[in-house]
Amino acid sequence: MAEVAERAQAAAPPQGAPDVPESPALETWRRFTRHRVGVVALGVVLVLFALSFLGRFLVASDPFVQHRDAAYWPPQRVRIIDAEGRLTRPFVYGFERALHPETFQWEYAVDESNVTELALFARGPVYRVLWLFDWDVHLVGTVDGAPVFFLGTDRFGRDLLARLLWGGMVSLSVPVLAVAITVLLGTLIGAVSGYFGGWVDNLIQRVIEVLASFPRLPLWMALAAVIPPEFQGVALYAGMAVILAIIGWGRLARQVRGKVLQLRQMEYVVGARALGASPWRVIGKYIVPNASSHIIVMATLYVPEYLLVESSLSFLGIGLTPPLTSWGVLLSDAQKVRVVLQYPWLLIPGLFICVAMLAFNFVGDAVRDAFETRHL
Amino acid sequence: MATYLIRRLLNFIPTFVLMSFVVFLILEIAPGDPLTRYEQALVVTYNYSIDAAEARTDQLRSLYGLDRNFFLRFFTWLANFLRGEFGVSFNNFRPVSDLIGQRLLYSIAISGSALIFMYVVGVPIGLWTAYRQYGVSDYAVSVVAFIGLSIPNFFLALLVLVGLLFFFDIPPPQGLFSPEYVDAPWSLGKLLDAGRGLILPVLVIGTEGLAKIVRITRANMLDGLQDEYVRTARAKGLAEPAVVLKHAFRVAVNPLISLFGLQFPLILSGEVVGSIVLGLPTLGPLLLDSLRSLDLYVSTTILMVLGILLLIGNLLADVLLALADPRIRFD
Repeated sequence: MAEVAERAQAAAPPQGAPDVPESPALETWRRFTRHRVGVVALGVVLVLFALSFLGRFLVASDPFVQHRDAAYWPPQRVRIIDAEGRLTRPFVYGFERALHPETFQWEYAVDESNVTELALFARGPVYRVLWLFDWDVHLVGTVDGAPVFFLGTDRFGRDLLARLLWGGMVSLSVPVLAVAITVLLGTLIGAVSGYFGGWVDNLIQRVIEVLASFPRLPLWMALAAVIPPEFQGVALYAGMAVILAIIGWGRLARQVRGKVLQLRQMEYVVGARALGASPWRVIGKYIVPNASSHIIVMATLYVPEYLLVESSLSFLGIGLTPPLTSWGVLLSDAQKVRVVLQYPWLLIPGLFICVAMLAFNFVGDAVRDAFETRHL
Repeated sequence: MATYLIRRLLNFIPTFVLMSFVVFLILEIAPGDPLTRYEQALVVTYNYSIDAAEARTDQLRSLYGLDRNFFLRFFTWLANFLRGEFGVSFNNFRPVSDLIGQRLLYSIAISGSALIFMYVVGVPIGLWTAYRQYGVSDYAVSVVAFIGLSIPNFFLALLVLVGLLFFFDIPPPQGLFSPEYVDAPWSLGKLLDAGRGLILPVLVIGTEGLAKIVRITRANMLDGLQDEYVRTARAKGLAEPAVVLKHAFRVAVNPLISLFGLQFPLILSGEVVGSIVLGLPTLGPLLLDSLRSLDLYVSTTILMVLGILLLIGNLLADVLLALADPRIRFD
């Protein structure tokens, strides 16, 4: 308690000091933190990013290794009470597998005689840290290095948890990359449209209108479908981000244009032009910085949309395709309802999509409030 | 009114041409041209010699204007489209118009019902939660609305199907009708059956929009309820329902109508994805199939049809808004 009071005192401005205005960034941050849900959501987003990018370290299984004898392995529950009711170190039971004589489905039953003990900082599959060196230590693993599947496996016996974390990297970074391209495209085109006016403006506005007056998902589907099959791996990943941005930039450009039209009348812009500043200098030095809060807000609003579109396309099998893995790609294993009923853990990737969408939506809302741009 | 309509329609012409150009670009970007797959099929499945297949497809290419330069190709394609010659599906050699006709009808029925559902259910909920701000129902609806906004359409469809099978042992429906009505002629029974078949897709496709409508109605009503004319209305002793509905709500209607134009593309997008997961015989699954097999005349026609639907939707929204908002002049 005393510590809190002390800190509060230290934070309060000294008595009698003149009111020093806060920096706008700090003020915006303060407004953001007033939005409780937004702060929690930001935390969730950060946790999702951390889980995904540290995934190979966190769990001791490889997202690509196929355990042929463990296809559709059910999730293994972590237990700390053993068969005799004593408290022990965490462990999991194995499963006994049998082919159902009529349905020819693998059926699993918990096998209490088969105990695998868990360990922290255990050795497991080798992975590469930051493209620099190979390491085989994992936060959670097993004492004897036997595989363990906390969220079960897919039809090839690949660990779903490891694949979820691995796929999270793609699912979370594609929207970010796409938003970066969108901001670049949208700001440039919007600024040009507003600054030069005339037929350039007219044409650009028409194009935006067309992009906006299309059901966009089918358009995205079409573009994704005509990506040449030679595009694989990183090329497909980048291609996806470009496709998202190519259809999506219109809304941002329209906002920037509006801001430019408004700023063009400002004395300092008129002054800069009178002093002979080139259009590019005026746009880059006076207009874009002043439109930055609009651009930031729009950028955060774009993230959940792009996440959703990438997931939808990958789910339908025309977005990202294996070996690239995203949550949408993982969820496409769950397209057959009867399969899902048998192996419900295949739906978990969808849960991650929902949580990420929810978190990004809340963050976007809070950011919008923080920048006092309610109308966007 | 007539001049207003005509002006709006004329406005659509450049939009339409540009829209066709975007669709045409997709046709052009695709690997090969619409006949590449056909040429391969001739060789592989119909045992044509490579030369014969080439001769046959070249003949077709000149028929479709594919051997001309870029702009001529575009105008030939557009002119054919406007004349209602959408080309042939090279998957099953049927004219595209045959494939699309029935499916378009179902797509419109589903999207239209979803739109009606959104407004009919969403507006009253929004009204109620605004009227009882910070009440239990307000919080509950806000939370549900946010979840509705965040759950992807296709995942919702999947969850609903799995839930139906798991809890009620209802297998995923095959199409819009029960088996006994699929080939039956239209009758009251078939109509009712179609209504039942619509429930699932409308729920799946309409949820996201419903959440939006609720939020927007609520926000606008909250603004409206604080305005001075509402206080005046109350002060002069007007009954509460009249205050809310005739004064506060009257002003909140306009943004809802503008939203109609923005919601329509989302509904059409949702219809495409939702129908694929639910296995409905609409444009969505056909679009996906045609894109996968690069059956390009089918894909581009569907894209154009969806775009035109959207233009019509926008026109409708404009007219409605002009009717509802006395500040908009027709001339």
